[in-house]
Amino acid sequence: MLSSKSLKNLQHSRPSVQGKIVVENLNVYFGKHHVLKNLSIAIPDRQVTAIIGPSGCGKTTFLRSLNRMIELVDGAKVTGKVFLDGLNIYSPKVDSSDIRRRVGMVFQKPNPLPMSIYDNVAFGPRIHGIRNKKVLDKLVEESLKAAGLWDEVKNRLKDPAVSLSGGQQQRLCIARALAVNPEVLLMDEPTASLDPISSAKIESLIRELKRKYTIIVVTHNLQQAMRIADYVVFLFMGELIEHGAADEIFTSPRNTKTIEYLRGAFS
Amino acid sequence: MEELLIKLLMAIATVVVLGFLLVILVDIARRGVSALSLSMLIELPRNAGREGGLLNAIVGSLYISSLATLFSASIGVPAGLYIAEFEGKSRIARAASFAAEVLSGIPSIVFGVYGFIIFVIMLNMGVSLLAGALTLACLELPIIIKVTEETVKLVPSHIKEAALSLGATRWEVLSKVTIRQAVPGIATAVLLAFARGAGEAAPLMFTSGYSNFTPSSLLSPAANLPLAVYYLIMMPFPEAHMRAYAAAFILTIMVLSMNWCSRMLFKRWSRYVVK
Repeated sequence: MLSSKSLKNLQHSRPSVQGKIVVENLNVYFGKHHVLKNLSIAIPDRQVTAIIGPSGCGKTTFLRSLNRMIELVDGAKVTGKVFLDGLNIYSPKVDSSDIRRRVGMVFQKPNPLPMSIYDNVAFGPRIHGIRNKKVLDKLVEESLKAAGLWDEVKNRLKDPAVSLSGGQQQRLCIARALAVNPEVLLMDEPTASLDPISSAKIESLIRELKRKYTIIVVTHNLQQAMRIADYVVFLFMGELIEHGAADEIFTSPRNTKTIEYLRGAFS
Repeated sequence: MEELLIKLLMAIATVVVLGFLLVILVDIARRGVSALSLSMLIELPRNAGREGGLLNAIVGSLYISSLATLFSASIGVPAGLYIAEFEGKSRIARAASFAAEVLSGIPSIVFGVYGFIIFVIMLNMGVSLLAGALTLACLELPIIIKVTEETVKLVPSHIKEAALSLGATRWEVLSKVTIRQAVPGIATAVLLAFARGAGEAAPLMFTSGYSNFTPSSLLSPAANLPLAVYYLIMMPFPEAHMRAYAAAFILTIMVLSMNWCSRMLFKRWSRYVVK
């Protein structure tokens, strides 16, 4: 945990730009491979930010460097700063587990834990020290309701999570991420493995959730980005090419690369 | 043409395997059942094994195999977990994995000889239930280590990522998630080791010895079913041979029901497992 003294030290390095998450000169290397090249950007609070760009441009790497999941990759090296409300998450004093509680993540493929529906949602609160059954019950119910899954599972909370359909599993994963009360929700192509109806449910859920959470979505699907995003970040070959309000980027992009990408010249 | 040939070869292989299994099972059942009676299960042997029952061997086998499995599981399961989690980073883990591999290739009679030297003589346990169980545990250990290791290595990384992304530490991931996913496999490893141990005669010949009574303590000698089969079939009396078949039948039923139980448990515990 942070003492008040170390907090003061950290505040010296406060970012100059405002935003829920502020990235300054972020570089990521996998061995000798330079994957993210000197990214600097501010992510607005309580909006949906879509990260778009062709395959292999570093979208997922960028997302994973926002909650330090990138450190789990063997040979990954990160330089630069990522501020979460002014706190540099890569500062040596900061505990990665604490950051991951504040910055939740939803993955490309639904990845339920090998336990019941209830235990999946209660897993996070439990490892963070909540033992009281009543508190847990309430958290599980609220989280499942927020993820729009409660009515479908309320009578079968003890069933294995794997007994749910793919779309339900993904909403369960969202509920699980919400249960630890995060501030930011990172989503890595959350609808890539789902059917259109399940995808639509997740999309409307994202629009719903942005009232409470800052949401960052990696997506391959431009139509989806247009439907859900308030802010858009375009990455190409590990570089930040253009970013701005969604209407601006989609109606009047400035960079030629962005124009070509939006026109479908490459994907 | 090639496909037909391969199919034919596979069919022959299947028939040979199933044929042997069937011949053994039917023969044991035919001869064993005719010699089997209630007194066989609940009485001690009399008159040098020509009369009475096999209670000494049944109880001895259960004690020795259970103890051996308890010993080997309490070392083998953590060892397998450790190897699976740290093989890339730890030299000890790699050494342990290699040792388990070598150990699993050693003939069981060699375990018997060294069990005798180490447990019976050097550690002064005498020919006893304990010495037999420890020797058998050494034989079961590599099975449990290897199967546990394989199961844990198969736990998909996306499950671990899910837990890590919620703020779990490495230890929490291992103790609360990885193990949950691997439990059916680990349970299978343990039951497999039990079944293997229950069928062994060679490691016990010099270590647990043989006795016509049920063991009264850990340090008294104990009989077991495989050795009962061996000793009875060597006797020059036809009535002893019938009892050997009865012992073989009981042993087979024991091992088969163990296998069946492990399948049932596996199914039950796999309910929550992510595929």
